[in-house]
Amino acid sequence: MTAVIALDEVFVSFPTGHDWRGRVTSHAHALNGVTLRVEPGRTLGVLGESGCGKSTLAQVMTGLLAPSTGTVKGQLGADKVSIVLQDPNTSLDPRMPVWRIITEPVFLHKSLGRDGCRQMAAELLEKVGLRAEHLDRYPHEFSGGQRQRIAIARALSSQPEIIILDEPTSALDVSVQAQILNLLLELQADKGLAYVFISHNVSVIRHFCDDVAVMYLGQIVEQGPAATVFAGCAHPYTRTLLEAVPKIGQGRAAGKLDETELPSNRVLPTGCFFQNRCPKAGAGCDVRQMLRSTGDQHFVRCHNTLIQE
Amino acid sequence: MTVSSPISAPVLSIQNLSLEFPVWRGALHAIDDVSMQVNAGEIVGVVGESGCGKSVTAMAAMCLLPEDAYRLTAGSISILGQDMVAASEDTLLRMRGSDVAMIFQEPLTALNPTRRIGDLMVEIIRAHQKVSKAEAKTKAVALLTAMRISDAEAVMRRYPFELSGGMRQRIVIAIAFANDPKLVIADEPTTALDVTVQRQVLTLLQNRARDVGAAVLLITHDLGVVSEYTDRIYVMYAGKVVETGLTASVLRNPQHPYTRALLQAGPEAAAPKAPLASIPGGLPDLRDIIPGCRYAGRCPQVQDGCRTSPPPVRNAIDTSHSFACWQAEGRLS
Repeated sequence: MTAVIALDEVFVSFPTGHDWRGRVTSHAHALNGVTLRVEPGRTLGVLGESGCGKSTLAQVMTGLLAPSTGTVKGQLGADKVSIVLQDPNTSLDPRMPVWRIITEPVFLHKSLGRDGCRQMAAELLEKVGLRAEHLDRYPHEFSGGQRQRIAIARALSSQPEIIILDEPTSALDVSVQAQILNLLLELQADKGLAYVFISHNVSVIRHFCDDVAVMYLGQIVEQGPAATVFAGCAHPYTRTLLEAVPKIGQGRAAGKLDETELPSNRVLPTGCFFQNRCPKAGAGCDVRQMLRSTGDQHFVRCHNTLIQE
Repeated sequence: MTVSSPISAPVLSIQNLSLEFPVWRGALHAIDDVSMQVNAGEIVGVVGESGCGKSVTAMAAMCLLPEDAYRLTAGSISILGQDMVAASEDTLLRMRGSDVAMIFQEPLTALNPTRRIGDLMVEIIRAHQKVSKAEAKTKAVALLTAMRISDAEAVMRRYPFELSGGMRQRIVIAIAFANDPKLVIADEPTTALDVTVQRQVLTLLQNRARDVGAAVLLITHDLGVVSEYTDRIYVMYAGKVVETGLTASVLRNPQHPYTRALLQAGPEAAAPKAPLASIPGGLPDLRDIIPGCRYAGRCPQVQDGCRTSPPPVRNAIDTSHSFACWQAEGRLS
């Protein structure tokens, strides 16, 4: 199968410091060698903490940002890739009526005319569970969940093959989140869309995604089918992350603490990026780790998991 | 709806509180007949979706709402036996920050961006305790160290923007415990944080509260957090407490349809890719006077009686667990 988007060894770094002559002295290393593929009709979940490069990855995939090195191949271009952002309060222009917001991605490319645009917006609104009479309203007249529906309608307008969902539900209440996730699943079944679902919420990723990639400090540390990864996560970081999720009915958490500061991405650690937080760090962790297959499409960036188990 | 506790007198006691915000041609009934009690040494959770009155209750308890923006129509609030409604501004100033501390959601806005962490902490300590600057500084370092901030001396010299979100929130907690509070009100303290940091911050909050015997009112919308870190909970909906009891009892055996719906809406409960049970509809307009149950418009088990008269408060099998619903338990399940 040809991938909708394929990233090969993508590195992105941003200049962060200059000397007196304006020469760049330091970099923030946002992505450090990301290789992944998004298959048509499937959902890839990208899981990680803030600062691990999730959103930079989204920008690279949408073409908003060119990688420093590495290649991005696949269905690129504004009409193939859409994005739904985290906060619908700020991602919708407050001075545009809903029909303009929704058709903005195609307004310049397709000569639909005003009536054509309104017609198209009305159809999309109905697809996302709103009504045609909402066409002339403004974003402030809607609730958070409805605004996110409008953002989804906008993403659909260019008939993309892939939608990047950058934390689409983290600003929403749990019942509204359920509505939005249901809607996204329906749309996927209907149109065969591929999704990249970026989130820090483990339970949402577990529920929503076919494949999952766990990111740490700009690297993918574990990757594979969601069921495999969540059932038998092999990387110590994935374990730390899964254990940290508060669970209903679990009762009291033990008062155990671990160091949770994400290392700076200005100066990358030598060796394994996770070693200073890793409970199992030891011999062999002082060299750069490679993503290695543990079989069945499951990849782990840790040498320990290959020796034991 | 109160849960009586044999341990000790309540630190925070809210009795039948009703509060409204005057709006054009009417009033928004933000809180209606809410009773809450927090005892010494307890961690009590308040859960509900946005707009259900969680934060307003907390702000009202601290008398932090702008004076002319609200009307207290009924009820009383007392903290450590002090009537907060009748208290003078001086009394309130003395209590806030010493007896009662508050932790807000966004640590970047809670800390003054123009002041170094150390200066801020010294000022707060000296506002309530008669100590020299040097003593206050030593105390501040001890507080930061207790929050597991390594190199506290260096952190004291930094500005808030130089620190990570988790670090900032730990500093906010350290400040909250600066003057040995009896009650800490934490309003969504970890919503802006990652799960691993959330775990650390909440564990520190929990341990600290245990160490000094402080009571904590933890406001959150995350049922997982409530389940792991609280002893008792109040579930709020549209300005009313709909269910309360011991956390384990309420979460294992939810009686109110809203609590059930909240539990089912989370993706944890569902099989992968299966549709989630969302709650249809939205909050009722709180400007209207709602004679019956406020959840009636969204409730799957709604009956005629639900819309006309307020639901009675009933006890579950465990008598410390009560809920406000017309339907008897057997018919619900």
